Amino acid sequence: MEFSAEMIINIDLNAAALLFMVGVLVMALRTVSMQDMRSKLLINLIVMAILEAVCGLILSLVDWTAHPDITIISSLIDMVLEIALNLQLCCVFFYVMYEVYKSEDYVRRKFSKFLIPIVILVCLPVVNLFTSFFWYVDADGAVQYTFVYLAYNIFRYLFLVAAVILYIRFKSREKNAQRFNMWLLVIPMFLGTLAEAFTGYGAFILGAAIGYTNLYMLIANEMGYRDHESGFYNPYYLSHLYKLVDNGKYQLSSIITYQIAEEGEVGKFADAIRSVLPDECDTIRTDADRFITVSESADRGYIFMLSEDVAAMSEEAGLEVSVESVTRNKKEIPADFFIDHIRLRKQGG
Amino acid sequence: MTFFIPRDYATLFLDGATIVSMISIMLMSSEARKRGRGDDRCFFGLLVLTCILAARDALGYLFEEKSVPGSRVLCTCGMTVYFLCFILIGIVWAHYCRIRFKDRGISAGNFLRPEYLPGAVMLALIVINIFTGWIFSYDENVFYHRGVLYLLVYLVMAVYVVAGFAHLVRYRSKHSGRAVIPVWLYALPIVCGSVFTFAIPGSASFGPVGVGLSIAFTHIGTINEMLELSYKKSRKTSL
Repeated sequence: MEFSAEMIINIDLNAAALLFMVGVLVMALRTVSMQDMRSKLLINLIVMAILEAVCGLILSLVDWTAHPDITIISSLIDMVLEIALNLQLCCVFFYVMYEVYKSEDYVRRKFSKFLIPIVILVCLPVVNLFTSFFWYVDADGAVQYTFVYLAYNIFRYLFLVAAVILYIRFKSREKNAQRFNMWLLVIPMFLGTLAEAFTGYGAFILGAAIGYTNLYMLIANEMGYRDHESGFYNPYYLSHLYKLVDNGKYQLSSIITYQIAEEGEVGKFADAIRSVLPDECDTIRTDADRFITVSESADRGYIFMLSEDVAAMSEEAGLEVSVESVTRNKKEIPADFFIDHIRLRKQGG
Repeated sequence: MTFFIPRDYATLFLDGATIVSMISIMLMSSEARKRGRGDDRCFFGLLVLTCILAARDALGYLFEEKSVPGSRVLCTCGMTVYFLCFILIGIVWAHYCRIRFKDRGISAGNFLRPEYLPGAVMLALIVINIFTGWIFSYDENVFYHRGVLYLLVYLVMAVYVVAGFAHLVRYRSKHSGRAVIPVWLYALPIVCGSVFTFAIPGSASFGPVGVGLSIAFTHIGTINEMLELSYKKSRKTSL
């Protein structure tokens, strides 16, 4: 079989992307508790990327000009490839939205609002199959793009641009220890898009594969700091937090401590107080029945109000919880404040 | 652009992707490196060596068989670096697996061990090759020629890689958790990459990509094991 130059390059790129994605999918499915929304979105991204890579490989491996009677099959495979790519861009947008707002309900509400553009994106490649409105395959088997293809491209990449804007606005607003780094996802995709735009070869899928691999590693890294029962941070997070406090990156000023009467009510307690805790405060489960919330705010009135809100929500949920709060004096060093109030409590039990 | 043949484009893309992936992992594992543990340092070394390997692979294809002034010297130096990285990756990988997947009671030790002597000899031979051509050489037209000891480089590298896998297999036989990375996943990139390279004439080399993927899977496996450990500990805390 003879391979043309374009075939060789596209085969290599799609094969490498497929290797990345298959490996990451295998590991993601073996990872414990990948049950939350972002894990499911990541699995969707990986599956779509695998589908795109497989379609790309098939299109690259077969010399369609040698089979003029079955070019409809190449058009069908191309349509599936485009749909997979479009759905990936949509998934990236909703993934970033989840990381920014940390709310499955919010993402579900927004999904229903964005349903129409998503359906349009899925339908456009189907429409193109019958109309060749955006692209078509000529007699030599080469893909030719119409002038409307640019508008189609801009429309689908709007989801990616919107995700970037959402993330930048969030980062400028929130200055706490945000562990999600979107650039590790976007930069490889951007480099792949650039390479594809300048050379015409299918490099986007390889960039996307690296981006999704990085995303998986970010999720897994972050999950290592999460308590799986409550969804708050686990005691491992304390050492990370201490480093931030010691480096001056986190100005620890207040600590609120909660102790629940019954250990079996942890999930119920976490659900009850989650709605009143602000995003800029980190909550850590330090023991089976003890939680702390840390804040950079030194406003005693604000901390007192927060404590009262937690107590009220707990009472409403039928839980017995004792709440205490302490605020750092201005002369006290944050690191010493951390050691005095968090480490000591851990030792005292 | 006629200066670049298709294999060059594919090589540039694949090696560029490998470098981006390794740099991403370096950024994500920067906190772990501060622990100062031997396996973390070895892993960082693997990342750096793979980046150098991929960079050299990409640049090498740009200058080989091209009539660019100084390309023969550049290619000779570049290929020397390539083989040095090749052997070092094998040694560091074996050492990393020894520390990471060790049985209790075995100390990590350093690189001054008898089993790394063949690797050290090979490194010296690669440097000496610049004057002797025993492993490779470039002629006046910058065409690559293999020397009499060419296969020995791959043999030494293969021995260290297999030794590392032996530690992994022994570890897996004693720790049957879901998170421990399956051995076949390491072999997959190299096997599939080799199939593509040999089946598709003119295809780019999947060598650095295969090495990079194996290292990425190693990092993912480490994260997964820590995740499973923290999950089990948090369940014990709640009981």
